[in-house]
Amino acid sequence: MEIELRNLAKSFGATKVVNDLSFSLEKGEMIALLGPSGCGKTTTLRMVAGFIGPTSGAILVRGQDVTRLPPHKRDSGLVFQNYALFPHMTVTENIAFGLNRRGIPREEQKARIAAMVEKLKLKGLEQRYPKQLSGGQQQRVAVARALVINPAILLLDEPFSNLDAKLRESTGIELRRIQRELGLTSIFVTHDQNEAMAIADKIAVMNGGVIEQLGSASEIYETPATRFVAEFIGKANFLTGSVVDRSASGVRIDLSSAGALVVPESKVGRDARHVEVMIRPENVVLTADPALQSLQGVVDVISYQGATAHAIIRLPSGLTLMAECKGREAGWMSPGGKVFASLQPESVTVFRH
Amino acid sequence: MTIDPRSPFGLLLTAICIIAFAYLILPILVVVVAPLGDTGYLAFPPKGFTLRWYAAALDDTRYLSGFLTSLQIGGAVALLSTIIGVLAAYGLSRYDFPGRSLIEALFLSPLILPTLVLAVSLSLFFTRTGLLTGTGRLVLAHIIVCTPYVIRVTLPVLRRFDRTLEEAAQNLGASPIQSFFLILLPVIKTGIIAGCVMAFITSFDEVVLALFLASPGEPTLPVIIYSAVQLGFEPTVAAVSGLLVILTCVFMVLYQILGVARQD
Amino acid sequence: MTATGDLARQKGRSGPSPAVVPVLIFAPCLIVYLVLFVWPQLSLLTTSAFDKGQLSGVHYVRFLGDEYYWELLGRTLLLGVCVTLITLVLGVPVAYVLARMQSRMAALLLILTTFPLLVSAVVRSFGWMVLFFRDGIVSNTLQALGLVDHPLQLMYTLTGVIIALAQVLLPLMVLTLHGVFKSIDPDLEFAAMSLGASPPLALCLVTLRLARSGIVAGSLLVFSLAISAFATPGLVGGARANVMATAIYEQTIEMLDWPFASTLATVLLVFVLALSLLYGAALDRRAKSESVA
Repeated sequence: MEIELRNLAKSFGATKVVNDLSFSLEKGEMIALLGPSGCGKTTTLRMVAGFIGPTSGAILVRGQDVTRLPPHKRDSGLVFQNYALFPHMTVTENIAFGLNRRGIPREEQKARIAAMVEKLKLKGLEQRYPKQLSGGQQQRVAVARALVINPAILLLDEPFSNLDAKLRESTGIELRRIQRELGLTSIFVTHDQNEAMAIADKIAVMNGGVIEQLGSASEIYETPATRFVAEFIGKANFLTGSVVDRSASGVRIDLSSAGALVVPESKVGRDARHVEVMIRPENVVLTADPALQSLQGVVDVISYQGATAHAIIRLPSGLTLMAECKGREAGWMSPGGKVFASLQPESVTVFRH
Repeated sequence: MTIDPRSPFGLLLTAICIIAFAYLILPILVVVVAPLGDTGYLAFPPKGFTLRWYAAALDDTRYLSGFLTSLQIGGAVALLSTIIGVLAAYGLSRYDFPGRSLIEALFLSPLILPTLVLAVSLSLFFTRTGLLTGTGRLVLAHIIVCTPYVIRVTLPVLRRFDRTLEEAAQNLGASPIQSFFLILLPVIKTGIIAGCVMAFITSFDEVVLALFLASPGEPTLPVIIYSAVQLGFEPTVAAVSGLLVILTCVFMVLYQILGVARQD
Repeated sequence: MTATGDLARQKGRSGPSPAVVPVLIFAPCLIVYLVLFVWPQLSLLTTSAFDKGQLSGVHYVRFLGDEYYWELLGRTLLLGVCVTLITLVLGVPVAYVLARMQSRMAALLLILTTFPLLVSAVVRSFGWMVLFFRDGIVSNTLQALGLVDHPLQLMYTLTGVIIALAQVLLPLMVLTLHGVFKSIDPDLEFAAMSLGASPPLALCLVTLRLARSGIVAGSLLVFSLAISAFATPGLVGGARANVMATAIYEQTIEMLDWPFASTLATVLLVFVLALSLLYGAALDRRAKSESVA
């Protein structure tokens, strides 16, 4: 195992910022720590980098305990959110900084810097100072500076948050390509679910200092472990209900104001009675005519987005449902119009209430 | 500008500004120009033209040795108070502890203390303790006056300093001490230089502490000028003062040019 | 050590333990201040409060009982008030104009304002002495303008000291107020003007009102520096226009009466400390009003 975090915890005074956090990474894997601000993701990253000492727990890199090592003796390359480029040094000097600290001979330094400049498309910018670079260029210098030292772990602290939306996507893909190429084990902190899902091998969704769910992008989206994960990743409708009948054909849940639903038994906890049913908007099927188990409602808002169209449906009970369908299939809907919504039992997730 | 410069009120403002700047510059201009007069006594505007008094000023070893004494004291004071002050400012910007604002207030308080009061108390102190003799006493006294300036100039710069730069350096393998010297000091260099220059000028120009504490055999230039002016209006003294003003002017222009060059 | 790859080549090193570092950083400054600042100030106080080895108020009684010293104190405070007023009358417009100028001219004028601060007060006072000379330009100009009908003697008068000292301290007033005006949005004046206020009225009602505590702070600064200034009163005023500072100098260098000099110094110190507390309060109020705005 390349990196392992064992029961890591950090308290500032009485507040537990990170609590009993564990995960491990194989060589070349990239994990995204995803969560809202204050969830402990940055604290975790800073503990791995050595800027914050954990209250308890251990950090192992290649089997060695580094928990008590000062930052400059750890072998990690960190890309800071604000890039933290040294303003008084040129691009080359910035990249060379870590090599100098490691006593790498001049000739080898030159070759490695040249390779990084090539890889990150920084040619021609070598003698510039950070403030003479665009945001995207600064970001690439920060990445080059962290990569050139061949770190055991690459740490990325919201590396794209200061880029504009267009650049963010292409930079993310580029970074992922380089990370794969170099086989770098990486931890990536972000509050942006799209970024996390697009780039990371696995995602740890964090909340209140603990990992709510650890899994691949599709796992956390399709089968969220907790209501928090379901709500934080993507959009979700939540309907409260209670189990009224269990039979071979499935579990019947009475959603009171939104009718009833029979879902496969595997989706419902054995002794659950009061439940919450989560359904993604794209799994709410809208039709002009009544269908099996469908609910009648009125189109409240319909907004056309191109590839998709988003609708908000108001049920007679006053409850609203978010629904999403293909853009070109939404033409028949208009605000105030009658609509039938059916929930696909196989695509719902049931939480205990 | 919200005020139209051609309106009566705008004209009034402009007039006051012209008067104010004339008022600010006039006495300084006088000491440069008056010794050019050929009358043998100081007058403004000067009558005739001669460089005699300036030549005499440059010739007089008393003034030259005073200048060198001031330069030495100023240099020593600037160096020591910059080291002490930058360290203290670094500590104040970096560590949070109970009583921190009290310590900060203590470090800045000599700024509000009348120099004369400090001169009296330090004279008493040095006489009673017998600590050091001669120029050393004045250097110590000036350190107390100049260190607060260094702290006041560098503290905001240090507070604005982006600490992630130091973290980045440490992440790349620099020890805390290396990152202090390789990253922090070069980044805040301009602020440190400004504090150092301020300390030097304050010490160089200072007269009250020097009157009390300078060793009688080695008076500083301001003390020599002060004593000479009290005795009479010698054109040579004005010429020395004029030279000082010109030197300050050159220094300031150089500082501005270098300062601007650095920012590009 | 993790010491994988490159990091293994690094030479081993270790710094001092973290707790020692802050102590080492503050030590030089604290030692210097305690020995050269706190201790001498305390010994100044005790010197003024002791007579022949015994705690005694005799020096303070001497100060309070002598009309001469009351007059001295009065003259010093009068000097402070006049200097503050002159620097205000000239400093407020200059600082305002500089703050509202957009060009390089403003930067240049700001440097011109700072320049006198770099020239020793001794040299500047000397300049005034040349101007105040009996046949000096000030007197001649005033006569030519018909403002006075005989040669005006400004040397060795309080008026002369006031004129010279106001010039010495004007840059500080301008620089303080410049910062204050710079922080006030000029759009506020346009807003007031769009509501019908004439430009001068908009300036008074909006900007000067907002700058009030900054103006108070600048005035207190100039006042406390004026009452403790020595070089200018010493040269321009001489013995005939004596103030607290010159009297203290006399008591030490000429009379060698250190206890009484310490008493005078303590009285001066009390005034300055009181003013600086007011100054701090004014700055606080300014900070608060800014954070609300």
